[in-house]
Amino acid sequence: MNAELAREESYARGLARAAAGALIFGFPLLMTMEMWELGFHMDRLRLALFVMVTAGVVIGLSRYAGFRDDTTVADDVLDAFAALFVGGVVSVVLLVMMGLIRPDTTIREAVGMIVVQAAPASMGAVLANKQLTGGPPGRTKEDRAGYVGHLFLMSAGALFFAFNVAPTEEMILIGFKMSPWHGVILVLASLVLLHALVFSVGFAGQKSHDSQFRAFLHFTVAGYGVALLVSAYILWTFGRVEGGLSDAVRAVVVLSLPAALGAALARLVV
Amino acid sequence: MAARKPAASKPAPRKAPTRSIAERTPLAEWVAAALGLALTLAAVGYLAWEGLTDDRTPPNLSVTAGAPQRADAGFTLPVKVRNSSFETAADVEIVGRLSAGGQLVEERRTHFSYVPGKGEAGGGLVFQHDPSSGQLELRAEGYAEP
Repeated sequence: MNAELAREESYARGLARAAAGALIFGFPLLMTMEMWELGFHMDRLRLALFVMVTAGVVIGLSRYAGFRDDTTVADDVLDAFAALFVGGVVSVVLLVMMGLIRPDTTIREAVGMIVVQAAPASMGAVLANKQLTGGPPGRTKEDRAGYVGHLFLMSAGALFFAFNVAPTEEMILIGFKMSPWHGVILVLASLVLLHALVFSVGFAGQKSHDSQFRAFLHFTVAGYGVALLVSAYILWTFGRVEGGLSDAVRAVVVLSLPAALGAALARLVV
Repeated sequence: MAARKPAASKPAPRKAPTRSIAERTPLAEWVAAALGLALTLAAVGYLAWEGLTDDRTPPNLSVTAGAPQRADAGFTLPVKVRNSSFETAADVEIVGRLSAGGQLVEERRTHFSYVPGKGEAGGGLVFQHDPSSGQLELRAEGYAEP
């Protein structure tokens, strides 16, 4: 009975940690005006899909991030849904506290605001819970994640970073200000940055690559591809690729710079 | 999700690995996870229902006025704009015309950044004359897509 109580207590502490993570990851977007507005004018079906993508990413993060070695898939899924719960609660509390959800707010508005805010908050919750639970730091799950796991972690990092800047008006404005040549330079710069970051940060698995070229193809080019796809998905979700192909491509390229940085840094953060 | 390769040299788990998931999972974890699952499903279900019932008609705006209040600079007339369509209207322009005996007395405008779909936005018009003294006409002039 005593051991059981201790386990409940340590789990409660874990939830508090998760809430702290949700706050830290969620704050920049909670205080972004466009995020509140997106919540009510985004396409509902895209928003529903986005909730499912969020749940999938949180489950994946729960699986591949963190130090606990002795977990099963079921444990990770439980952790993930607990993180989604914490992320949702933290978002609701903050939105209410800042007067963004009021008693006269319609359900449509409130649900929209909460689900877009809950995404980064839930990612923060699962990471905080996984990262701070201690355990032997030598072997991390990501070492065993395999190539697909690496790609997943990169896409999660790209998603988080892209998500943080995608809602702002500036994304569209930058696209308008750029010439096609600016776009080309931005792509090259993103690739160089991704490669430099990945290999100076010490990508797990880099030692196994004898040839630099293969490493470049396997991680940098693949990583940038992931960043492009994630950016396109986020912009589509936010309804920001409706203005024609030229604008859409430019917006994707602009957003892929932070997404690529996120993909590279996922190695550090996760 | 990709199958993970089993760790080559897995350190001995601290607790007996034979305990079932029901035994090694705290009750609080079941509760939190169940709530998380329920919230996620509810959000997806609600959004999908709204998305599927959305008939995609353009914003349908109606303006109503509250009771005018005496203010330092004349009279404040609270107005509410309702949008009965699912589509959100941005940059909504509201005009209030006060006329007496067929003669326009005053025209006042205000602007709303957003009137959410199936939602409302509130504001006010400031008149020099008492709005209840004549005929008051309130209209939404136009909107932009968000």
